[in-house]
Amino acid sequence: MMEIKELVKISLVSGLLNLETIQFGQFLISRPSFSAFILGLITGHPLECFLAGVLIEAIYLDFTPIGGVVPPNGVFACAMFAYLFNSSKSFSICFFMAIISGFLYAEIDKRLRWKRGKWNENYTKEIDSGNFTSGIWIAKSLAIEFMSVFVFSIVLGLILIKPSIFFLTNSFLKQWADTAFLAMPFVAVSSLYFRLGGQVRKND
Amino acid sequence: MKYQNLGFVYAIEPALKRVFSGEKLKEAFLRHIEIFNTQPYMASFVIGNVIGMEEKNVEPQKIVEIKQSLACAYAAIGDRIFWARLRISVYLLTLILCFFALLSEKIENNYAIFLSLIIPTILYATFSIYIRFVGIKKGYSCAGSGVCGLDFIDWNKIVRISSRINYLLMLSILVPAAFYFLRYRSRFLSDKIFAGEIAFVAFCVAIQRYFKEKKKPLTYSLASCLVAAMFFAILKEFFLR
Repeated sequence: MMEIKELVKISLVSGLLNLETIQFGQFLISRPSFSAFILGLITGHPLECFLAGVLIEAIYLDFTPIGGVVPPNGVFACAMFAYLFNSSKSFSICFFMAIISGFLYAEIDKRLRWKRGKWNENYTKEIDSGNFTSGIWIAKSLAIEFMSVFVFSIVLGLILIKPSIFFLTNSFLKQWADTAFLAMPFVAVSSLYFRLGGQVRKND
Repeated sequence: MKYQNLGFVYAIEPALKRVFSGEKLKEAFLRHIEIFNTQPYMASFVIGNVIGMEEKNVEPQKIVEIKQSLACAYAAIGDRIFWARLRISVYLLTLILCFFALLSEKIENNYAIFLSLIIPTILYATFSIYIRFVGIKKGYSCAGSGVCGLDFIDWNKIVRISSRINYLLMLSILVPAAFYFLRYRSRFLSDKIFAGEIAFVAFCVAIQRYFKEKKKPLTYSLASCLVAAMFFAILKEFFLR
């Protein structure tokens, strides 16, 4: 029961944080390191969540939201990490599950955007009838985005909790996750390093 | 999909209602409900220009054409500056501040992390708000004439400087991080396992470089690392212990 309460709290906060990613503000408060820290304060593991957020951000920075590209969702990944880590206490296993969750939510986000694209027809009809209500459509979009993160993080949290505990109790699987985790900071940082080097060379 | 069209209409709605009424207002809404996609902070330049043009009663077709070409131009600039560089600067600055804040024993851990997160965020937010504010002002005074605010700052200079700063910040993180990792791991592991771990990490970095050369996303490297980790875990379990 306590876990469900915690999950609802995490989902609520991540739903609000997610609005800052695109719809409201975009001041980078919802970047993974920051949102993981906030979510960590809720679960009582701010340092661990912050460290996971830093790594998640290093990996997700590789995906630039240019054009119609939907990058993996950092807030959603952090929400999953905060919840799973609170329950299973295994950093590497929760980290990989969080990374995968971020990619999964990007797929949901793509579908949501595609669905919202269909609103244009209705809005055009409203304009034709002399009704100018863009604010209402935007409020609707905010509410759907919030609800989507809220509901999906509860659902995925409940689904992932069992595999994360299974991984934890199986020594080989845990060792596998620990070993793979060892390379993650280096893969993420080297990707960033070469990218920045490339940017400097291009400008010269 | 028409991307940010609804947000754009929402932003110019008060101005349109001030300038037009009746059938003309309807027409103005309909011409701006078309596709709009640019970098969000730079959208203010386009918004300013469009409002200026609408107030000056510029020919509707011309407004739409200028709007679309400005959206593309500002997207190219904004993506290069904000998404490809300043976002990374914020990340790197957070890491450096956090490193020093956590080392300092005078500051409590949570407070240290919060400070290292909030300082770069405030700097970034201030700059982005400034760009949005100036964008509206510059765009409005240009109103589709001349370069429409594109010459407001030397954007290329910002790109050049931020690239170099990012690279320096990255180096200043990379060197001590590698040093600490090697020192920390070598203390607790046997020589064989430690050497194996270094080989595994080097292999993963090589995989990442290989897929980057092939222009594949990082997901390919991550998946390959997971597979390689499984083999290394087996090796560690049965041969290296």
